[in-house]
Amino acid sequence: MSLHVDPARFAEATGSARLEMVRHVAGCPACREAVAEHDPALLFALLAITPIPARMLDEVSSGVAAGAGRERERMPLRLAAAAAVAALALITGYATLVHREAPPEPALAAQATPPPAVPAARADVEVEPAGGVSHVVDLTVGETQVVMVYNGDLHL
Amino acid sequence: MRDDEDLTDLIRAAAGGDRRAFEDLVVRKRERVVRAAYQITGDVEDARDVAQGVFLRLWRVLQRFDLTRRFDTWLYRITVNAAIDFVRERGPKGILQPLPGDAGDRLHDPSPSADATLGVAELQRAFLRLAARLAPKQRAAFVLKEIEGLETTEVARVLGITESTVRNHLLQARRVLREGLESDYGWLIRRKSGSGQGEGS
Repeated sequence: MSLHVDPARFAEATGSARLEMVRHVAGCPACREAVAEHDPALLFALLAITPIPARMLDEVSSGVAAGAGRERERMPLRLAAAAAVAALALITGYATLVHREAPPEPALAAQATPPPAVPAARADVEVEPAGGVSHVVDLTVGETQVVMVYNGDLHL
Repeated sequence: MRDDEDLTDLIRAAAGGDRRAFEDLVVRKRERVVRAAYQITGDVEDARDVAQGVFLRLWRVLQRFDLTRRFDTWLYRITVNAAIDFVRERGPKGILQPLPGDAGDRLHDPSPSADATLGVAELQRAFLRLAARLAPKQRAAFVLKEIEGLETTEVARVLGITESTVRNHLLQARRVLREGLESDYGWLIRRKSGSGQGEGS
């Protein structure tokens, strides 16, 4: 590019057009002066052509190559671990399903058999009125609610 | 266009587990990744660590890349996120670390004038010092737009923010850098009008 760069266009340019302008501005004191007058912060665009030392780039490549190799070696282990976890989850899920489908027999028996004649039993019990403190004990198991009320002062 | 096709072939092969293709891809993109990481972290060793981490991550997730999208935008996104995370975990850096000397210290002007060369190392040092005053996303937006030359829409995609937020970040970043240059590095921006080089140092 032989013509001078318009700082306003330089500020708006992107991609390869901008890179071409950067190369020109880097070597042209008049254009650098114009760019700095337009907006000094635009001078930092010149950092786009700072060459990165080859040694540093090679270090990145060699570090990545070594790391990618290690990742490759670990890959079968990772797959095996993932397979083991999946198998364990499958077994646990299956066991839970089977357990749910076959509820314990006593529960079924309790549902099938009508409850004992509680009112009759109650009728046979004499309760002497008494004070004292009643204790409520929650013995609920799963969905079966069992609550025991205990009062030591009651005389049946 | 041919370059784009080559790149797509390279990505496809690398995504399929071809180590040689992946290493070629690294060679092709490493300078861009290192430069962006360096301008955001402000440290040579940190930039190298970030770049290595970025490429190793790429090796793990490349098969998930959608070939209909722009690869560079995706790569910049991984790089910028990694660099910002790195800086947040590390905290502010006390000592500035310019690129090693074999980078070539000066941008050379073909004209014989003594004032014709601009010390790129000086400009780099000024940027590292002044950009430390910016929030990480402001700095990243400035690096992507002004140094890497991305369009505002692409910067927004890389940073995962709206275009208007990018414009705000750029406005703030330019203001901070402009004021810093004028107050601390006047000799750098007024070199041609006869100011001495060491004036502001």
